[in-house]
Amino acid sequence: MSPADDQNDAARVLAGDTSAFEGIVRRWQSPLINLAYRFCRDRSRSEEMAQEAFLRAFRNLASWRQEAAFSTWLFALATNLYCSELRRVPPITLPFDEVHEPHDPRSIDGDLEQRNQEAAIHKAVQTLPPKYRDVLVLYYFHQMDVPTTASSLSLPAGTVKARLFRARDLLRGKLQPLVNRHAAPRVTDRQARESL
Amino acid sequence: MSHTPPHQKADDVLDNLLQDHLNAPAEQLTPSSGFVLSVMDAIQKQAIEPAPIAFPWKRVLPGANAILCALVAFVVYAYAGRHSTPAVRPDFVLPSAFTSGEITLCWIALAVCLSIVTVIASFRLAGRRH
Repeated sequence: MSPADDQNDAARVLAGDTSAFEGIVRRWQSPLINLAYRFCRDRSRSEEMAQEAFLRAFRNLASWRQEAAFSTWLFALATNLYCSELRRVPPITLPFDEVHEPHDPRSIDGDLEQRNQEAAIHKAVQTLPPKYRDVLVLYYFHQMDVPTTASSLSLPAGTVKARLFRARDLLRGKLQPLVNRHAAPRVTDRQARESL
Repeated sequence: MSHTPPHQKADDVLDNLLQDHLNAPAEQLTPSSGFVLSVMDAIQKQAIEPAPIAFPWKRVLPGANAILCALVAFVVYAYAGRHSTPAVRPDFVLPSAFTSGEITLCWIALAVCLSIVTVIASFRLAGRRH
């Protein structure tokens, strides 16, 4: 996946060769679908959203200024589309209160504990206000890179940092037991038995 | 021995939890086999569609400007008429020859005329395209 490939394909598309766009779709289909999935958590909807993003990219390809990386431009365009699409039809989420934390942190069933933990984090993220959730999802999607997140959202880096701070603050409140449990030194089964 | 503050440790834990959750391998989707085909199909369809008709700003702007100027003039005239005393600016007082009913009729007539002009203009513009 080299920037030159994107540049060549974009130039061919702009010259009238529509089929050259297939190279762009093949290279970027997985990142765009996965980004959409981070927002809507629905496989079929994420493909629809990614398709719409590619269509919009095709329509607006001439607006890509080549000094910026193609990926930056494409992610910004897709993020903008996904956010407005989710404002139009929000994803179905349960209220946070409906998610139950396991009462016993030393649950015998490790899988169940893991599943509960995943469900708790998922719901906590989904119940964040959209402006914090979008920043958080993109930040981790872009491997905790603030400048890339900022350019994807067309926001200043300072705003992204402030929203991340606030999002983490809200999540810390929602996931307090989970964070405390992971922050505490891990008690092994043997230590637990000895303490009884 | 390094000592990490508790809040820093909690932040790191939260970071790890979120990173693991949001970028877990189970969360990575593989595009379905027909995805590229379906996107390219939609793009081919879009490519052969004629470009949308651009809004005729050049033709609309003079009319829109005239309406805007008339509105501004009316607001200024009404404002000045209300706030000036007859001794100072007698020419800015609305003529009393019209009753309020007649003024309303004038406005209705003006609105009807504008609507007719707009409809005629749009028909003429559309007619030229064919």
